Amino acid sequence: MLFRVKRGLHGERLLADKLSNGDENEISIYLESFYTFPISLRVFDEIPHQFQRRDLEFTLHLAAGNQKVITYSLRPVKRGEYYFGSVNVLVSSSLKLISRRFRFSNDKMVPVYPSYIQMRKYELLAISHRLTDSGIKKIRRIGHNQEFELIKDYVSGDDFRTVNWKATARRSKLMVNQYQDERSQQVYSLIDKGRVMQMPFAGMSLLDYAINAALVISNIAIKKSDKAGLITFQDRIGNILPAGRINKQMATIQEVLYNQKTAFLESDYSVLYSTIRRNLSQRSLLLLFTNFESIHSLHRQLPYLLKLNNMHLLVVIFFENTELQKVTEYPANTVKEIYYKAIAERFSYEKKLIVRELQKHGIQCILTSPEKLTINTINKYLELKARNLI
Amino acid sequence: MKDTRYIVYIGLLAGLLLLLVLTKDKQYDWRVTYAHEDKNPYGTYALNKLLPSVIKDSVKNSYQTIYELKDSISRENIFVLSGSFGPGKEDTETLLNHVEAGSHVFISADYFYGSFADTLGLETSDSFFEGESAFTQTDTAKLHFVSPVMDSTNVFPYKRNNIHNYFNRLDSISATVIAKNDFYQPVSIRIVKGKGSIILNCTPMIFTNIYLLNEQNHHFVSTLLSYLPKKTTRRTEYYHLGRMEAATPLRFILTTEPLRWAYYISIIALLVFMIFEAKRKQRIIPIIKPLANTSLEFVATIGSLYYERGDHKNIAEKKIQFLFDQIRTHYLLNLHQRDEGLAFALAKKSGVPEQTVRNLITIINQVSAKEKISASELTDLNKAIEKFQLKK
Repeated sequence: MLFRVKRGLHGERLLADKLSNGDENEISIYLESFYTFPISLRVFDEIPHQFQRRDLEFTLHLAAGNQKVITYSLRPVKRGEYYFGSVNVLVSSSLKLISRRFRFSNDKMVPVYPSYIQMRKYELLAISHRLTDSGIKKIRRIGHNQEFELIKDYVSGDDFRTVNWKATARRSKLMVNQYQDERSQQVYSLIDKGRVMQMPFAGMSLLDYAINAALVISNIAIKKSDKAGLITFQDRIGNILPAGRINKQMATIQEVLYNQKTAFLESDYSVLYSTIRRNLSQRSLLLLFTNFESIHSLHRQLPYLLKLNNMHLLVVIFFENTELQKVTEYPANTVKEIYYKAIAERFSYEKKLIVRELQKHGIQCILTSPEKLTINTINKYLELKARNLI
Repeated sequence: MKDTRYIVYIGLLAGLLLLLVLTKDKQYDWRVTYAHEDKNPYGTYALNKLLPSVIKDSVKNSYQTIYELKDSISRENIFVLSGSFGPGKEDTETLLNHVEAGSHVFISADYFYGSFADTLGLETSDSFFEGESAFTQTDTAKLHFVSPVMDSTNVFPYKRNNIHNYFNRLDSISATVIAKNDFYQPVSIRIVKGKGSIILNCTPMIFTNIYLLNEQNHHFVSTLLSYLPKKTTRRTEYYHLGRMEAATPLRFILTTEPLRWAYYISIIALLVFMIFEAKRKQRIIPIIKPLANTSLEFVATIGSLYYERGDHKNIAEKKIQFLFDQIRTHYLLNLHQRDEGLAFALAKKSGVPEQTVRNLITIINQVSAKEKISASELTDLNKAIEKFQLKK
C-alpha cells in the first residue's frame, strides 16, 4: 500500500543562504503527504558534520493529505562552509510493519558567516536611537556636542543641563535637547589572531567572538555616520581595510571577516604599531580585541599600547575567564581544592590588576565575559562618542 | 580491480590451508573419552562391540543419571565407565536400592568419592608415587585374578602410567577382592548387597581400545565382566561425558517442541528486525574533536605546583588579597584598620551576621601575623572566607 502511490510524500528543507556564527539559526523541514491514509514518519536530517550530532531524529504523524513543518535550530561555532546532506524520511502506515524511504533536499553547501543576526539586531536599535532604553545598559552621556539634533522626552540618565525649558513648558513634561554626535570619525577594529585568542568558551573561540563583535560595532559605527575599518594581525599584519562608510563597506567587512584564517601564532605588536603609524593619519578609535592572561603578558605589550594611545584613542578589549568562575564559585573542601581555588582566584584577580594598570596609563579598556562582548563594546563606543574623546 | 585481486589472494591462501590440512599426518586423539562410539586409543568402541557377546544380551547406551533411569530400568544390569565416580545423594540411594532389589551393577572409575564411596566404606589411592617403589618400579603394571578357581600366575600387562590406582580401604566383611595388581593391592572388588551385587574396578583404562586390543588383555576384561549376570545391560556414560544433548541453559526449551519453535521464531524475527533496522538511516558523521578550553587544567597544574611546595602562607595571602579586593570594590571599605569598626561596617554593608564577619577578621589577622601556617589553619581560613562569600 505504501509503495503504490508513486509520489507519496513531498518534502523540503528550508534554510537561509548563510548561517550566523554563534547564534541559534532556525531550520525548518516542510512535509506534505499525498497518501489517502494516515502515516507515521521518522525524519532524519543529515546536518553538517561540524555539529557532531548523530541523534537528530523527529517522529511525527501525518493525516491523509496533510502538511506539517518541523523546525529546529542549530548553533554553529566556527566560520566556514557547512555541507547539508539530504533529509531522509521513513514513512510507515499505522501497522508499522514496513517503511518506505524518501530522500529530498540533497547536498547543499551553506557558508557560516560572522554573526549577522546580532548585527541586524543591534543595527535596528542603533537606528532608532533606542540602544539606551531597550535591552542594553543605560549610558550617562556626559559630554556635549555642538550641533543640535532634536528635542526628546527626558529619560532618567539624561544630562539635566540639556533640559529645554521652553519645550518643557509647552509639553508640560520634561524635554531635553539632544545634540548630534560627532560624525565621520574613524573606528578601527584591531583583531588579534594570535595564540591567546584560541581559547574556546561555549564551544566558540575568542577569535570568533571578537569577529562577531567587530562586525556589529562596524555596522553600528557606519549607521552612526562614522567610518569603520578593520586591521587583523598575528605574527604579521593580515588584512587592512581602510575605514570608510560607503554603502559597500559593510559587505566588504563581512567578507573580510568571513575569510579570516589563522594559525594562532604569537602576535607581534611592533608590526601592528608601525602599520598603524604608517596607515592611519587621522585620530581614530582603535578597538583592540585581544586577551591577556597575566599582568606580565600585558607588560610586554604595554609600550606599544602606550604609543598607540598617544596618537589615537585605544580601547583594549580582553576577556574574563568564565571557566575559572566555576572554580571560584564552588566551595573547596580539601587542602588541594583550596590551592586550586586560590590559584583560580589569583588569575581572575590578575585580570583586574591588568585593568588597573591600563587605567593608570590612561588607556581605555573593557574586561568582559565572551558572551557579553558585543554589548559591552557597543556601550563603550557610545560612551566614548558621547564624551567626545575621539 | 583491486578488490578482485584481494579475493584471488584470499582464495589462494584458503586453498593452501586446505591442502596442508588434507596432506598432514593423521593425528590420534589421545583424550580419554571412554565413549562407546570413539575409535580413539582411549575410546571404548571395541568394548562396545565385545560387551553383548560377553553378557549374551543387548546393551543400551544412555547419557542419563541412574536417578533419571530409575523408572525405565526394571532389573537390568547397569554398567558405568568413568574417570571418577562420585554421584550425588539421590543417585547413590537409587543405585543401592536398585542393587538391593536384586540387580547387578558394574562400575569402573579411577576414583570413588562422595556419598557412594562413604556408604560402601571405600577409598581409592594412587600407587604411582607411593613408597620406595616409586623409583624402582617397572613401567609395566601386571594385573591378575585372585580367585582360587583362576590361575593367579596368569598376569595381564598394562602400562603403569595408566594403570596405577587401587582400593586402599574397603569393607572387608562385605567386599570380596577379585583382582589385584603387581603390588598385591586390590583393583577390583565385588560387594554383595541385598539380593544384588556391585562390582567395582578402579582401572577403567583396561576397557579402552588400545589396551583391550593388546595381546590377550581382552581375556581379563571378559572375565571381569562375566561377574555380571547375563541380562540386558544399561550402560550410562553420563558420569564421564555428562549429557551429550545440548548442554545449554536452553535445554528445557529445546526439548519441548512448542517452546523450541517459539524460540526459533523469535530468533528469526530478531534477525529480520536487525537486518532491516540496522540499515543506515543517515550518512556517516566523522568525529571532529572540538577545541578544548584548557584553563581549568592550567589552574590544576599551577595549583599542583604550589601544593607540592606546600607553602600554605603564600596561598593564604593570595586568598586574603582576593577577598580584600572584592570587599574594596563591592563595599568600598578601607581595609587598613582591621578591627571592630571594620567588622561592624562590613556586616552592615554585606548583610552577613556580625559574628561571622568578626570571626573572619580575627582569622585573617591571625594568619597575617604568622610567618608560617599549618594546613588546618588554611582550611579554617578558607571556611571563614567561604562562609562570608556564600552569605553575601
